Amino acid sequence: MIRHIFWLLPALSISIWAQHETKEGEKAKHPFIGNVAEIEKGRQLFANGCGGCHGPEGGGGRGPNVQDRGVWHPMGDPDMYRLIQKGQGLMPGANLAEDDGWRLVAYVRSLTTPAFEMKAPGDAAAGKAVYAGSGCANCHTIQGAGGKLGPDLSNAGLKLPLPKLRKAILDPDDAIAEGYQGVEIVMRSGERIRGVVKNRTNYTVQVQLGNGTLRLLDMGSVEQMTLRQTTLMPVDYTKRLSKADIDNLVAFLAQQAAGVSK
Amino acid sequence: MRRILAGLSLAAGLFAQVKYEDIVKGPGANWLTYAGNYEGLGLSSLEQITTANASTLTAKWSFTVPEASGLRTRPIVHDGVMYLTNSNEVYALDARSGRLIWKYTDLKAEKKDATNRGAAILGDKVYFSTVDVHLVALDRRTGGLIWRKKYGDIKKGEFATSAPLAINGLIIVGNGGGDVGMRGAVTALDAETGEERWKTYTVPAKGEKGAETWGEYIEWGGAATWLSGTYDPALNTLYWTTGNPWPDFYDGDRKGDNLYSCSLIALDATTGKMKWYFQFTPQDTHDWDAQSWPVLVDLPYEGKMRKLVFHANRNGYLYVLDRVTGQYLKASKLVDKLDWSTGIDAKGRPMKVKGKDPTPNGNRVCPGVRGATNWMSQSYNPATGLLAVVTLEQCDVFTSSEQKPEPMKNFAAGGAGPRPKDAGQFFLRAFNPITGRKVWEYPMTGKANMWAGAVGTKTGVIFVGDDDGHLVAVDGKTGQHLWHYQTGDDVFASPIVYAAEGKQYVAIASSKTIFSFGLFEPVKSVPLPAIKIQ
Repeated sequence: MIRHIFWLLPALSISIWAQHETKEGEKAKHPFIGNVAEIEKGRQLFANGCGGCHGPEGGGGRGPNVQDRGVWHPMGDPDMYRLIQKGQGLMPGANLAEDDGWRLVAYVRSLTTPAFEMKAPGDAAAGKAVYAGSGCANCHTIQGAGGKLGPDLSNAGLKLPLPKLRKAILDPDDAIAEGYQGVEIVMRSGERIRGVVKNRTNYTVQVQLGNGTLRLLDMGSVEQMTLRQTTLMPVDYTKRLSKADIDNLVAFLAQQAAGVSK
Repeated sequence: MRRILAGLSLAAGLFAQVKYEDIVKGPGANWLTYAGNYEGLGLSSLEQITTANASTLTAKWSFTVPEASGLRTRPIVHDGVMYLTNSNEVYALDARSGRLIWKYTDLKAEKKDATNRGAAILGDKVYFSTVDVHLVALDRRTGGLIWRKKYGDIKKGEFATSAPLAINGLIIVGNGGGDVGMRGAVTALDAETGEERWKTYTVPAKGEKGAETWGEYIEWGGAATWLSGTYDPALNTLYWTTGNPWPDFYDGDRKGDNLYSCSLIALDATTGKMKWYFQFTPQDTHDWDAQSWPVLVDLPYEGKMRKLVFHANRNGYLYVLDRVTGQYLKASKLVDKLDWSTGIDAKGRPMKVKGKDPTPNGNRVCPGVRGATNWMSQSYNPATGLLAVVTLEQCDVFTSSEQKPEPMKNFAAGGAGPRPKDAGQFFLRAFNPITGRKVWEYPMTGKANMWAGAVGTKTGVIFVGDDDGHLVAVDGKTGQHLWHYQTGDDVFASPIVYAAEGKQYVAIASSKTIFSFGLFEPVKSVPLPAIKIQ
């Protein structure tokens, strides 16, 4: 049975895609969509039920990755609700109480909706102070100001949904952004260069220093190169910051969407 | 950990900002503005590549733009970093290796299907226009978005393709869309904040001076401003060209000169006020936009030193004007195939030949709809006094329609194209604009399909993309072939010359790929370093 589900879930995702856009979802937005408390309840429901196939956080497993917008987009909310409740193909219907069904829809939506479009828990103004006081700007840039060793966050609210934004702070080792692998290089001249790798081949390596300076180095002039598999970012923010601080920081970053007004 | 971070953030060295004065100096190692310098000379001061050694040029690197189809980009280079654009995208590459440093994709653009001609740079910001008429400012070091400001409206027929022009504290932008009905404008935005400082329309509003030269559809008159302009810092004057009046091929609803379409306009850079205009093709019916380079040169003219502007126009003539006053001085023929006028009169107006407007059944007219030249870059070398211009010898059959115009419905009241046996041919030609003499020409093979331009060096080499997918080097004095390279694709863009770490390069985009060339050097074997993963 499990084998059948494994093979049929991808097929199901195609049939969902083929349903094409329904405007219904846009017209009748359920109050749980974007509601942080209900999303959290939906997360628990998802982890305990849907997670068996879709992964505990929707990242995929035997079933499709629902963090991937392509799987369900542009299915409207009512279609997603019906799919969850009644199932399709070999995906069993959840048959939950109506509110719980909508909590699941709200949770799945929250996995891919840009943080900027969500109501983040926490106070963005207080989060700005957390950002300033925690040294984030030593490595990250927002609208031109800050260090260059971490990804530019000017548009973080448009690029990441809330769960991924939070995870990037609490578990930065989980995924190091392309172009931000830490490196220490010893040149044949004895010079030591530390920064992040923008690109690397057997012939050249390009390093960006903390102040933004780019260095393109011929490999022939490199004596030794040490690449970090772990992030340069501190991994102990769960200890350094209170839960409220983290909520506030996430709220602040969720607002970073340069040039776009809410 | 903290010590490592502190050490990293204190890394030595400065990553120099781009100052307005750097752009004024003109191109050396850097290529800081679309035309290379404000005057539009398209001429590099670098001296390593000469007519004697150009034959040893070789490809150094290439970079394929994944989503590209028909790249029009002319890159900017600063401090060893090349910035190039595609529709709604900017790429920062290492100018020596072609490796990607960062990429920006505009997430909010409401329209995607168009081209983009390039970026601008000033301070720590790289600027470009999205198709949906927003000016975007990016952090040049990270590609992070700093701001995104609307300066036009796609719901009113506008879109944007041109490279912005950065001057002292202002970013100047134009708009496109003149073939489907819209209102042309040149807009200045604050370089720091993106706030609009001025906007000058190229079609007057009803009741304004010049409105009497239009008819019922003046609000959709066109005169788009889709090619970056040139700038005289001493006169604080912008020179910007305007496109065709709409609808393109039928003038029954727009009796008059249709000001300020098909014109060169001179604008005060601080206020946007129009100082003068010169209209090359009044009441145009052949889609002969004036989008071609206003080249600013100081030269003696009839015994007196004059501030001049050269303009090679789509209508087949190469003009010389006084750029202080807009006074017409001279015009000479760019192409042999020119039959719509017998010449230019003393006031600069074309002497039209009757019966050369488009007709419902089609009327063969020379030049064709793409003109005797177009927006491809030119190169002027003061040492030779020659302006190198890509020209097209072609005639087209022009048709017209009296159908009631509908703006923004892909309606141009007709069309144009060559007869099957009447295909055109491109030439790179060198003119002395003062005498009007064509000094040499380099004929191209191909299907008359390209939009590639030229760039020159003070050492007398001219690089030009050709109609068969090559980048070609010729001798700027004689037009003699020196070198060529086959890109394997169409070329729709114009080349640049730059240097990185003391070595000179020439670069051009093919339809999908940017190539960079330099003088041949044997490759040294690269020993692999000890690599540790930690």
